[in-house]
Amino acid sequence: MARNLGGFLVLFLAIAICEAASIFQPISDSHRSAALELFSPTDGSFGSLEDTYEALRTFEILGIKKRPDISTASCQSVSETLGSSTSSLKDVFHALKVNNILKCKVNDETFQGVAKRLKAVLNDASSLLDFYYSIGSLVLIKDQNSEVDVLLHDADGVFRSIKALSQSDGRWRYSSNNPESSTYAAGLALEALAGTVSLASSEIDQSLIVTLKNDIVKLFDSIEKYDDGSFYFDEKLVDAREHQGPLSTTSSVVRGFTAFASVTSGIHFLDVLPKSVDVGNYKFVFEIVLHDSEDKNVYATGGQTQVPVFVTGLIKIDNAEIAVLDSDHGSVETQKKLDLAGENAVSLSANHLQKLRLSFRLATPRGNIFKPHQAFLKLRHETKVEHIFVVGNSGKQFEIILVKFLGSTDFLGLVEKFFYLSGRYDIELTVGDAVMENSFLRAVGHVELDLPEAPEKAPRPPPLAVDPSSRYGPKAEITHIFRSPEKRPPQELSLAFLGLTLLPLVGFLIGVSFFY
Amino acid sequence: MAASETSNGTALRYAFGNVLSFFILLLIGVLAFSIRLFSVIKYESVIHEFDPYFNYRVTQYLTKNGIYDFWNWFDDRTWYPLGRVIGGTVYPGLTLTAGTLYWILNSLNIPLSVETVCVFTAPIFSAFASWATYLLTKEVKGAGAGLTAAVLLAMVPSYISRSVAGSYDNEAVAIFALIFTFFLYIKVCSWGGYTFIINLIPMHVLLCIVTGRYSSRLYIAYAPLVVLGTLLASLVPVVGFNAVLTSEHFGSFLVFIIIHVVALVYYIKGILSPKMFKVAVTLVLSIGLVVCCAVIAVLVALVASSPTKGWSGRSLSLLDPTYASKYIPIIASVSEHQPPTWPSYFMDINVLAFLVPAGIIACFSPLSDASSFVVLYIVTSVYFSGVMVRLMLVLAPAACIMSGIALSASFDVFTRSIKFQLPGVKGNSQVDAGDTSSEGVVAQNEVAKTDKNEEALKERPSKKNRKKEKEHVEKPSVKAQTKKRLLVLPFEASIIAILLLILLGAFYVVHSVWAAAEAYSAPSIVLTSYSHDGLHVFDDFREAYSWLSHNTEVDDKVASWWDYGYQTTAMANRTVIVDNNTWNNTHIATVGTAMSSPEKAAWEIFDSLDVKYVLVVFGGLVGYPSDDINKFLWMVRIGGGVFPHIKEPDYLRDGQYRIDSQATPTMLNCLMYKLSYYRFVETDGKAFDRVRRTEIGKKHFKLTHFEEVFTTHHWMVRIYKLKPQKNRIRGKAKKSRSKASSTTSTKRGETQRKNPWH
Amino acid sequence: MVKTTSKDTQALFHSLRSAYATTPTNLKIIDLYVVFSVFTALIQVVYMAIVGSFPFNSFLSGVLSCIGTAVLAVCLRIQVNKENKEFKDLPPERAFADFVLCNLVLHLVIMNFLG
Repeated sequence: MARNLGGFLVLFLAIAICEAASIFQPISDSHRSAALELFSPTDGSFGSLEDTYEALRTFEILGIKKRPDISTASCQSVSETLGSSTSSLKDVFHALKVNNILKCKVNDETFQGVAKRLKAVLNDASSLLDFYYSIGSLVLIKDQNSEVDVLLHDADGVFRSIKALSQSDGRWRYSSNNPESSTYAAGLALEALAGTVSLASSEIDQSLIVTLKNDIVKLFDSIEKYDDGSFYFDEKLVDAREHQGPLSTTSSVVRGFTAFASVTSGIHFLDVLPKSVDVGNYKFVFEIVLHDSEDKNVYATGGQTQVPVFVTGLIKIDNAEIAVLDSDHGSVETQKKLDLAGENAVSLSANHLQKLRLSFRLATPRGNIFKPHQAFLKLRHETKVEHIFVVGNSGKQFEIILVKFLGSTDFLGLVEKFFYLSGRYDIELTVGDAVMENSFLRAVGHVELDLPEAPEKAPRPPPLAVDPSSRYGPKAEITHIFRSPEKRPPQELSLAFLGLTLLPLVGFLIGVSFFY
Repeated sequence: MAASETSNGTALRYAFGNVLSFFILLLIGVLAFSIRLFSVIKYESVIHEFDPYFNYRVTQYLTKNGIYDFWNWFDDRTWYPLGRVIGGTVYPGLTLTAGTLYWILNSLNIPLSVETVCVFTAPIFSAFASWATYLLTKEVKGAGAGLTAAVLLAMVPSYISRSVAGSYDNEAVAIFALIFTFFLYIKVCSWGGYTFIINLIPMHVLLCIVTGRYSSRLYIAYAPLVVLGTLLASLVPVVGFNAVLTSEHFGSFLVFIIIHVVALVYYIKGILSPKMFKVAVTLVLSIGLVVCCAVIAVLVALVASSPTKGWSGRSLSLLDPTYASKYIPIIASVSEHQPPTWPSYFMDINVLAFLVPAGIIACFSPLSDASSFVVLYIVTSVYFSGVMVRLMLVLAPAACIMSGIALSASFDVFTRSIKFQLPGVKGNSQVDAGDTSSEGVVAQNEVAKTDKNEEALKERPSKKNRKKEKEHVEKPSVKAQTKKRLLVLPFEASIIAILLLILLGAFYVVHSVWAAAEAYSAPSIVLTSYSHDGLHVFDDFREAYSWLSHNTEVDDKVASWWDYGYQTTAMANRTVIVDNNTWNNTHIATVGTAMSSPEKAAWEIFDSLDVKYVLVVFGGLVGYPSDDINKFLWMVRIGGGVFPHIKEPDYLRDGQYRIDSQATPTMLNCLMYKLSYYRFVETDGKAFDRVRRTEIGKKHFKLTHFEEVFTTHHWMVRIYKLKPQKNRIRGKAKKSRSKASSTTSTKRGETQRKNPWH
Repeated sequence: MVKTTSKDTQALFHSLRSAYATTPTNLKIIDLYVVFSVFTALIQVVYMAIVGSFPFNSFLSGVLSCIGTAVLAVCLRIQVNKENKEFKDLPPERAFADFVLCNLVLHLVIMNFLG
């Protein structure tokens, strides 16, 4: 059975790693700032303990040091929750999780009280969430305070009552009177069971664990696969009330499974990583090699699983400098130091007989030379004509020398490439790699180029590429021209003429009456 | 007793004459109707040519949606993307007439289709027109001339050419309206060409005043006419304020003022003694002269300050025949707007051309209001017909009336002299009714007419005018008869002259029937040709249009040269870019430019107009001369008039338009050339164009932006589809991604899902 | 010269007035009506000259209705005038009926045009 489980493990690792591989992006500042934006406390605390925990955990994973200071408010809320006897199980659970990160000062009596209460709950719990929260809390208490007695005396019983919620297909129900089964619940149940095992005062009945492993095998029957090969779990009933997306379902199952695997001692840690591992791409190769030569007659092996692994890190940049050289002797005319981590605004000027040299050095945290995937130098003229040069490396140093903006014969190309356009060129340096956490695209400054007049047959600059956002983006708003309203006379004038038109009528009537 | 007997006899004879002339008129009507049916018999009952299709479509709309929707009709299926306000830009006379006819027939439970009604509207109205001619000429010179003129008009080729069955156009009804208007002396404003009428009548009034024929009846006839006519004309949307704003109408207002002045003068003259009147005249003249000069100066300045001098383009081209060809290529490009040639005069009015001068002379002896009007009419129409072929149609009725008068007058003279010399009738000359000749009826009717006038025509003030004239004429005519007896021609000469006249008439009849049967009855959408192996029918146009209506989407836009716009909308029911109503020169120039541009530029123009299909007419295979290649220079000219990068010389080799190997590269690369001659070489291997009678210049080429989707049986119509724009890879990727994110909630098991976190 | 002219003018006016005095009363009323409509038309034209002809259809219908009635009234006057030999046989009732009918048509059109 253990072998079986080990097989799962390999599979499992593959899932996790494949997932990681396909979504792999080095954690960068953009993620961090996004996280900080997403979790911004109001009045020094987050709304609920659950939110607080999520925020803290995110900061922890992303390695955010400068997180907002919420420990006082949160710790107060934690101790209140733990101290109160009416607080819900869920809150207690999250309070303990927050406490796990913040390490608030909670006295032993409080823990004692909570543990007692949790055990009481556990005795007559019926729903899966009750089990999950109380066992999870007990496990957390065990980690935070070794004084408190959290051991379960009736671990077998708890185990059985949780197990009673399991379904034949490996899914779990939330409670005995709820017929809906869920994959997400399976993850919760596994986690709870793992906690039960770890809290058990005596060894758990092995037969229980064996049946549970069978359930897990069944659960894996329902695993699904995206088009890029990564596996995931999803709920069968999409319209269930507490529906979770594929990501949270999968992570729940993974959490439960790892927890269970760790307590049932079926996992092996590979601890043979060489000391010399540095930033870069690595590939893990899994292959079975038979130890005994006799076995080769009995077993046949084959297949190989390769998993790409990225080790990322901050790359040190130093010795950055930019210089204009006199072409003939290579003597330095002007030279400026650059701080590529910060802002730069150097301004240089050069004519067509000179060279431009840009050099810098990249080093890994261990001090090795780092070769980025991309290292470009971009010169952009005022007319938006761009030229991109690849920065080459010469062993230790990265260096680019733009040789002679005009040469006698051979080097004419560069001037021609510049289309004889004199004037200001903005310099932009791009250094980037998948494993380089501080990849950058930075404006270095500008250089004034003084190039000769274009001869007759000089090539014209290419037409500028149309900005896609202007081509496909929203068009400028059309302002409609409305006809201006006709000029109307002042009302008095119109009324006066109205009266005037009546005059002939009056005259006519007078005339008629005159005749009679 | 004897006296009463004779009066009884004359009354009987009058009655007999009336019945006879009624039956003659009926027969004339039948003749006018049936001579125009050649097209239906030889081809089928279809609408002809181009404009009639538009009229047909408008009539359909009218009968389907009613008069109010018709007035407010905005047509979005033409002039895409501009559309066209049909209700406000169409002369509604024809449509309303046919619509009423249809409605009456259907309410009588005669289930004729709209198309049938439209096809037969023109013949019906030509019968009416010949009756109206009878009425008008009878006013001028008596019933005999009237009947002759009616017969002549019933089969004058010029009129037949415009009114064969199926030729459902304004002219069909307008000529009737014109003649009848003159007859009633009442302006009809809703038919096209009404400016002719509204200027002719004031001219006649002016003539009457100048010749001292002013009477208060003239005033009563004219003054209310101007006011009411102007108002009614303004009610027609096309005319609108133009009725008082353009110079075409100023003539009538000027005469309106003049007639008032004259009326005042006559009135004052009537109440004053001659001496005092003289004093008044000198006084008014000295003051009035100054005022008049000032007013005229202001008027001249006003008219001169407007850019076209207040005259619209079409009217200017009437006065100055070279105007249109100089300034407006789109007007000049229509063959109907070219000045006619002498053969076309002979073709269209035949022997009438020789009879007209005789008729004019007859009108001057004696000159009455009515005959002076007719003379005025013939003079102006002869002038106008010299400007435009199209206006030949206006000349035709005038020529018929004149010839009718001339013929009947000469018959009158000849038969009289024969009668005088015949021994049997000698003593009986006072009652000069000839027994058998139709001319006898003429004389009777002349007497009968005065009676009728007294009874029936009292209500019409304008009529009375003439009635009185007739009374004057009648009295001396009795005396004149005794005089005439002295002017007798020799018997033999009279006989020969009558025979010659009959021969002339016979020649005219033969010519007219030939013209009706052969020259003018082709509907132009179905073509025929005779060759050694028999009759060929080319029904390519309808083939192409029905292909369009069955194989394209309802909202697809079809681009073609504007000649085929009306037909495409009416027969294929597809939206067109330009059509025969050439109201927007720029839009037509855009299509012309596209046709004259190389393929890619043309594709871009058409794509910007949302065009899906391009239709070209090509006659090179069967030798159909009025195809797009022959019209192509006009496209270049019109296009170049608005978009200067199209230059006519680029398409001409040494000033000559040619499509053979000597043609310019611009010509050989333009869209029109390519669409016309694409795959043409596959027909005979040599690519010999039978219209241009040469082998084409570039035989093997491919189309990159257009694809051929349909070519008719005889290659006369070719339809191409614009190839869609090439897909962009980026756009495609984007699309699929957005699709993936929207499928997260779709049912499972359907397809493999995309990873949303990717 | 001037004197004779003024004298002539005076004589002219005098004879005009005396000649007009013999006109029957009903004709005078018609004349008055004509003058009334002409003046109304003139006032409208003056108004147009001052403020412009913007609602052109209103202006047109106003002026044309005045001119139209004036013209019709003149026609009526000509027809009912006993001295006019041309219309001896025409009963004045019929002339008046014509007048009413024409006015009806005219004003129907005017109302339509008024917008």
